[in-house]
Amino acid sequence: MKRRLFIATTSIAVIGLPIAYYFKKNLSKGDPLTTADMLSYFCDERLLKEIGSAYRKLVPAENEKQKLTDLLLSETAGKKLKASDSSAIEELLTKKIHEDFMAQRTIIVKGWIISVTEARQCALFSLI
Amino acid sequence: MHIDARQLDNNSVIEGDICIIGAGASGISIALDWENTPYKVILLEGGGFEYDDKVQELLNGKITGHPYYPMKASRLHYFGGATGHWGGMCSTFDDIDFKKRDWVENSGWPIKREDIAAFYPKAHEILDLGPYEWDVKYWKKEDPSFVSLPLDENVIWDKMWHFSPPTRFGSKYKDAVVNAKNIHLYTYANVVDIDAVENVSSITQVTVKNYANKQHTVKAKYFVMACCSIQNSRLLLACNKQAPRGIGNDNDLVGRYFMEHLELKTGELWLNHKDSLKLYQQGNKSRVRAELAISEKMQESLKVLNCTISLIPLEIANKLQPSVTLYTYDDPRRSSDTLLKYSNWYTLSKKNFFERHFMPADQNQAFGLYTRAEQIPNPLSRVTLSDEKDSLGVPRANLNWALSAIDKKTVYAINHLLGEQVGAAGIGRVKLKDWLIDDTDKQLPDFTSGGWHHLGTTRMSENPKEGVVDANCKIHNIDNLFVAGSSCFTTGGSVNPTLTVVAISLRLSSFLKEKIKL
Repeated sequence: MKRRLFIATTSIAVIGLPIAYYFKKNLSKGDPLTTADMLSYFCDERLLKEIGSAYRKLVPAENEKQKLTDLLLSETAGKKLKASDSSAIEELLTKKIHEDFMAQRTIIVKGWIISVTEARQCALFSLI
Repeated sequence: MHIDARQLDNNSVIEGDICIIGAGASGISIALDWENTPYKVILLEGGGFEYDDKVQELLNGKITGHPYYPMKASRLHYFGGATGHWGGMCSTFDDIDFKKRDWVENSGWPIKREDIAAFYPKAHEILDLGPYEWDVKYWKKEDPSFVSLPLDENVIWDKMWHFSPPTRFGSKYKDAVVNAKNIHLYTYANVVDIDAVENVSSITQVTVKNYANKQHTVKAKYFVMACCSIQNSRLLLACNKQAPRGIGNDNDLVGRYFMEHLELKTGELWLNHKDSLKLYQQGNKSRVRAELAISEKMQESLKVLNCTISLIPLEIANKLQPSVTLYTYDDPRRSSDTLLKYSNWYTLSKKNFFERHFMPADQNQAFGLYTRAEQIPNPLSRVTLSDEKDSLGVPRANLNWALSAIDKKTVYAINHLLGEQVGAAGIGRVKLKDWLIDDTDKQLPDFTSGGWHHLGTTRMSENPKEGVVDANCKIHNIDNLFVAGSSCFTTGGSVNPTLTVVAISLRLSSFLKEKIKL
């Protein structure tokens, strides 16, 4: 009986853990406006929120949901995307982050050298 | 030929064509360069062939300013000198290291890199560095698993390093020196005084002493001081009976501009994937690796010094402790043992049975950033004489190691640039250490360590008002007194100096060979 229990528990662990990991990874892909994609490879939710809160303290003028959303959705030419178009937003933010680094629009928050766009994503994340 | 100066009759007079004071990397390289020539070379070593604590004690002195290693322990006073405990890391100086940089006060050598470039290959061979290849492209061809990070090489580039076994000059070159017919090695021959002609325009003889209470005189046509930056300047300052400020010190420059390389952990590189980053790893079995170096263009644009970053798997980097907090004992053997135990890459990277057999090999997502930076020449960073004398009657040296605001700015700059580059490449992010975040803070932390590289103190200059030796390493206004090694460095570059020390010594040797024929 004990042996069966051991085998069953081990099997659940062996099969279950990767499945749980798979779902966690996919679940973490949430709203692109609040998901700093690159940072989420090595920062957990708590740390991402801490980065966001720290950014809001560093840049108090942006300490507001709507302001952050507007800034994130604004394109460089001043055009705005609709908040509902998830894949277009993801594409826009990826582009903006790359451009931030190329143009040295970076900020150091809690030691991380990050783009202003992803700092705003964390800030918005910390407000929800 | 080897002669123990303790066994000679007291007050012996030794004569030769060239007298080299100090048998470390520099002195031995020069001596062997004269092997099989018709000239008699006198090579003077203060110690013997083995460690002798009584002789080592002669190096003792006080440290002030930024925390530093004990004076007694940071050099080895026996045949082979500091190569008896060096780590073997070598790289070449860059073009910019020799240039006058308008943002770097007191920069600019009177020679260019190409003036010593011809001597690098031989120095490379002396240090057992393998193929003389410094281009990363060559090594990538040799080992296709060497892959560069996708960074803009106009900003940060891959600078290659070679690892010497490390060559211990004391064991490797002992037989060659001892068996050379024209090289006369005198051990236990500490130079305690230098005599010059009345107007101090040339040197006539030096006095050597030892613990056997023997004193001898050495006469030669040319004298070369090769006893490291601190001891070279100490001796010049101490020889003040004919030149009241010390020999070669008319302009109060001997002992000034002591430089080191600043070494410390500065942050973390986090990748969005696991990677060995083999090209950048120490111990990658090929005896070469790359470090990330700041480009000449960026140094100029940001007005900072030269520097590099090495990447160490984070789990190892986290265990590394600052060398300056470990290498604290006066006895260099005890300090070295402590360092090897607590802060050595090889010791810390040793894997247990489980890790060796069941863990994925050398793939990491995070790497520690270890910055190695040039220090600006600072006149207040200097060697002076103490009121206390050693047991042979020579005033001890005191060292005041002084850092400057640009040193910190440099460390910040390269780490920040790397953060931007890694971000732009979309491969990860960089996290800085807390103390580095505030770029308005001008001070480097106390745990900033040196690389045991003593540079400057008899710096090279065109004008006697700006340095101690000329472009040929000859002391300004003295006909036959030369200084070899890193003592002559006008600026320190960012890389470990041994390869350049040997190259610049061979250049001096070549110059003397031409001069002696005249």
